[in-house]
Amino acid sequence: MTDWSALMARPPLWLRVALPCLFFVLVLVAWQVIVRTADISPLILPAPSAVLDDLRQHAGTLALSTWNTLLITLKAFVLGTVAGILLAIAFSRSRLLELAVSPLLVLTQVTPTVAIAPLVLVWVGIDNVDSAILLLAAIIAFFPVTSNTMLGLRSVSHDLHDLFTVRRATSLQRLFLLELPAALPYTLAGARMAGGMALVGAVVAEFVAGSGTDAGLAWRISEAANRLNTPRMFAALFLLGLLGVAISGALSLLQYLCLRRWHESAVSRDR
Amino acid sequence: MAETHGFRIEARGIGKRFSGQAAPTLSALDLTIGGGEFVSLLGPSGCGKSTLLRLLAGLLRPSEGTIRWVAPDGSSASGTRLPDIALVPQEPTLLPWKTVFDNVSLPLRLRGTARAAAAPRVLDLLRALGLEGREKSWPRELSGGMKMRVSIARALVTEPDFLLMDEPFAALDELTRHRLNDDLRALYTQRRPTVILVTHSVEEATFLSTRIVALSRGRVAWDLPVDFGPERAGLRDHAAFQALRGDIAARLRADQAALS
Repeated sequence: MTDWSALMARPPLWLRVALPCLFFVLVLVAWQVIVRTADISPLILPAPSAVLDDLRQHAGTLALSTWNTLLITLKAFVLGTVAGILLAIAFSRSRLLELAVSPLLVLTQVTPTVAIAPLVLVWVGIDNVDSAILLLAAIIAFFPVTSNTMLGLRSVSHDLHDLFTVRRATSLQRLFLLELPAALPYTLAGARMAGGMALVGAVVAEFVAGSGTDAGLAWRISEAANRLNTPRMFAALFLLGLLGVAISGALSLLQYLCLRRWHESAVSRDR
Repeated sequence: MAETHGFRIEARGIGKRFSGQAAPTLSALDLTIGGGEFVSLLGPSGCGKSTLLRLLAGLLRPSEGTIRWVAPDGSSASGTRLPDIALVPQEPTLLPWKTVFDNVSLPLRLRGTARAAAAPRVLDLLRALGLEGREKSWPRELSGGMKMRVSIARALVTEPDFLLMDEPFAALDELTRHRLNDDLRALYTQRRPTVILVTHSVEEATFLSTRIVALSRGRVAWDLPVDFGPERAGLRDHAAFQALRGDIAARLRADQAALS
């Protein structure tokens, strides 16, 4: 019994992976059994086996769409994160700028993407739908990076600031050797959120904007919905979920690798 | 090495009032500290010791009066001839994302010294402070006493003209404190920076200093030389040391009594 509670208190990595996978398989089995025994129409709820068939038959198209969605999500993530950090630095340098601009930034966050998408389409998307999608996804993604990085930049201890002042550090030295490293745990936490939101943004934007030259998963889903191809919808949804998990996992790994040496959140402690 | 650092501090008519405060923290304070002195600032809590230290460090501007750094030739320090000041705050405040080596070399890096060029000096100091082999450790792996040693090494790495210390040993246990006092005393006699130490410990002040300045009500209450000479190993057990320590404690009690 104590072995079990110790295992649960500090679950090893294999267990953290194995448990959710096992649970997912159980859900799939239950789903399959229910659909078969209750004889539910595949238009309403296709059995997992039907979804798997569709995945296999259209692997090429779906893989390409997954790749396109991943690409645009990554671009939006990088764009949003870089813009978010630069904006946070600008705000931390100028209180005036922060007071004037940051309330307007909140406006971009409380307005649903779906609502501003048509406008962005008119501005940049007429000839180039892909850049409209990219821009929309980046608009959603930058905000957590900005707000977290700002919090991090502000939370640097006064003693450390004093140290840099007494040593006559230049403001660039202060930024790169003190403030940005101190804000890194915050920035990374923001980036994790931004990763998920970039994906949401890419999907929502593609729904609204339609597809550009390269169709993504959102396009596959709406296309399948128009044709009442429910198994295809599930297949695309499954890939979308997989993409989300992969992005979130990669960013968690990045966070761990950056912080494991020194930050409390990543350092494991012997008990 | 003795008497190489010749800068002198001249504080004249220093007043400091923080906004929202009825009484000024410091008022009409005069203090001259010569190059190579080890001055301890004593006094009850709230007497303005730390404020004075922060003024001398340039972290605060005085509301009244002037602080002048006078070079050995008698000219006021300005421009590129500013004295090199190092600060040891109460908490060790190391950069947690840098190793011991990188923390200690930071002040040199800020001046543009290359990492490799800084190495001999950093390793030399780590050895002098009993941190040999610790250069690759992370701050979180160190005890409180070791962190303070790193903080002191970081302050000394540029061979500063002025070493300003704000109750650096207050949070340490007595044994560690004594050992660090011994080490600081040894480093002082070797390198002769001007040291200004804020402390609450009469024993520490008496053991380390060449001069004790007590503050009360925002000015200098009294100013006492400590003439025990440079060699102070075993001094804590001497009758003369105990007597001076008792005398200083009695003066501080009298200051405190005068306040209430």
